[in-house]
Amino acid sequence: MRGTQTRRPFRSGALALTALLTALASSGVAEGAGPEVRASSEVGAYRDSFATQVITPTIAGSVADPVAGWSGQGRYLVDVVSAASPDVVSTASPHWNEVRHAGNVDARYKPGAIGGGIAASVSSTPDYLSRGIQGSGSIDLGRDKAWTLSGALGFARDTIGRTGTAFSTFSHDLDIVSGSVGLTRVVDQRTLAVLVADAYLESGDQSKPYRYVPLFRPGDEDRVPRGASVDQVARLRIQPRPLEQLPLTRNRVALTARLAHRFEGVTVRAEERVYADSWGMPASTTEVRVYFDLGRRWIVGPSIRAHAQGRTAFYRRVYTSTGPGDLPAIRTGDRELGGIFSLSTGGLARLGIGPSYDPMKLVVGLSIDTTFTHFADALYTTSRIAGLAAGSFEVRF
Amino acid sequence: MRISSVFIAAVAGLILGGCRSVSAYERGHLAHPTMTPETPYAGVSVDHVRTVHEGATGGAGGAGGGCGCN
Repeated sequence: MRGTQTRRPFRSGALALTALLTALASSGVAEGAGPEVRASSEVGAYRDSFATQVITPTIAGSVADPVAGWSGQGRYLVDVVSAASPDVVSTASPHWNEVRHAGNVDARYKPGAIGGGIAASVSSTPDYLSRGIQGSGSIDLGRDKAWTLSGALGFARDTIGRTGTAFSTFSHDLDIVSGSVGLTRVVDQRTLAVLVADAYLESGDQSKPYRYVPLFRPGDEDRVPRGASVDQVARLRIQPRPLEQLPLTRNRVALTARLAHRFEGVTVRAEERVYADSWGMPASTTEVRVYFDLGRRWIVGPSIRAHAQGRTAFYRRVYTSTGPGDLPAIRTGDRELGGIFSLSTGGLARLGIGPSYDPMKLVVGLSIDTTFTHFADALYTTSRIAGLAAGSFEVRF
Repeated sequence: MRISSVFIAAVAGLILGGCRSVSAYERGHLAHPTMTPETPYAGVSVDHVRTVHEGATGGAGGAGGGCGCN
């Protein structure tokens, strides 16, 4: 209910912010005076075939002095979520609304070959609070700064509770220590190569306190097919329906390679990420983006992305049990922990509407992504189609 | 997986191999806003959606909040 009530004020706020930014930019405030100041707002809209809708207004600002080597930026967003996914329906719960507030700030200083930064983030819903902090550093190496070695170390704590219940009454914490090491190389005058290794060490119970796992009699596996409906599951499941229980630790590692090449008026970027974790999930994500400069005012960038992941070792479409004393110790109803293949296509367009001497001083943008997801072995569904559109407005003072 | 490995090995080869240096005055093309080490013009919404929708994406926390997105 809260989500419905809050949408109109956020839309009005975004419009007011856009008008304010336009007026400030047009007035020439701070023109050429020291640090470069940027401000932006974005409104994203998500909808999928599971009857989930999300509206996300965002505001952001940054200030930077490239000569002195320092910068700072901040962002605040609100997600207004409305959902009636099969998971919600299967628990006979009503249509579900939620508002998420999230923000992050970061500051960086790199006066010469060596630099560092610090960042903090927070995300809050009535039943989930996440806060994190990260420190980072980088050093330019080699002749003419051919390489840049960078690293980051972070810590986040997520507190997971239930809506309508104070965290002090019921909650559990998930702690995440993260680290990354990256190497960027200027290959030639037009080519950039990047290799990044990430690791995340998660400890704590991240089981969703709303997610109940249906159990079936041994031998009934074949009677519960892929994509079995809510009614089929309700008819065949046995009485105990325990909450999800995930392992209490998860270690993830990923290696990402990026290659960017600049042709005349066109940039081509390719990215590959391979992933593995201690829950037994392997994954590969491939993305290609192309950016076309169409004159001095337009940038258009189509993209395609494919993501494939295997199931975790404990994921089952059908968990079997003989009764309350025989529950699977580890169990999940999260189809995102099963095998998935998803294909996304979309793109963005950015139009500079600033003065002729600097058209990109004011930019309006539109991005659209559509994703088809195939669930290899899940209950309730075999696929999902999702669309995400975002309109943005940016100004550089 | 084989294509992934080949691409990653190729990028690693480009990073670690060769000794060509590019002077600051030769970096005009590299200064284009689409030539950043991170993905340029990445919207905030799409990252969050993927963190929620893909078990192998994300990891930095903040993915939760009920089960509406799942």
